[in-house]
Amino acid sequence: MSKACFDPLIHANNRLQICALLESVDEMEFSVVKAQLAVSDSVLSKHVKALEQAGYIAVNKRTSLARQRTWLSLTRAGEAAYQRHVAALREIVGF
Amino acid sequence: MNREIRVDVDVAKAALALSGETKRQALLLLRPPMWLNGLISVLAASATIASAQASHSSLWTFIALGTSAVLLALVLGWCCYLKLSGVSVKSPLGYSPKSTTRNLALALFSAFTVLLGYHLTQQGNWQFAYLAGLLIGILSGVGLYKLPTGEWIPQDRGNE
Repeated sequence: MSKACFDPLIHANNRLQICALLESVDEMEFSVVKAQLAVSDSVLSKHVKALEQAGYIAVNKRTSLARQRTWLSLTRAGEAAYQRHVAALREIVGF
Repeated sequence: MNREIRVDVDVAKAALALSGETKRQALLLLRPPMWLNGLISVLAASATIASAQASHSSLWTFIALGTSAVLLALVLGWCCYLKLSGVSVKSPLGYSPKSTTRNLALALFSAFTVLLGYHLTQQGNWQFAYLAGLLIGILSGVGLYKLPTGEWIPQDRGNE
């Protein structure tokens, strides 16, 4: 089990939700993440960029059925950081 | 660079609840609709009953092969539908160690039930074919509803 470590980058509500959504799937399309978070394209792009720069998520643009789709996935580093962050939150709460 | 953020218990609780609820939303996306869940469970039960009674080239063998093929097509079809909808599913062994262990345990228990049903039915106890079928049907239905990825979907709150 990974150690607990509070991560300020993940702690922001939208970024925490992005990580939580992506943890359960292999990849999720940008539009689906946007719909789940109920945020605008620009807000999601900003958070995705921050997480991508930290190496926590990977962004892949692929064309399928003549339509370009942007897929987001949690990297191993991102998954570990998210799990450590959740563990740190649990420690604070006292679980 | 080293920003210090003070997090009190209430903030941590709220963050955990938000993370749990979001994770639940993601798991709900992977859960098949009730009609498909029911169809898959009935087919899994039928395949188990038919395979337990199958012998060389009987009609049961044909039914077992047919239901298994339809079952496989439905599961693959659901995964393709998810992919087209913008959600790509992980492999059953690609989740957390806890979920992977649960998936493996479920798969092994199902295989054991099918084999036991077959063995006992071949010895003349035909009731066990239906018992194994019922068990597999229930297991499949509950599994797809509550454990679509091996992680238990909590009722309405976060998973804390």
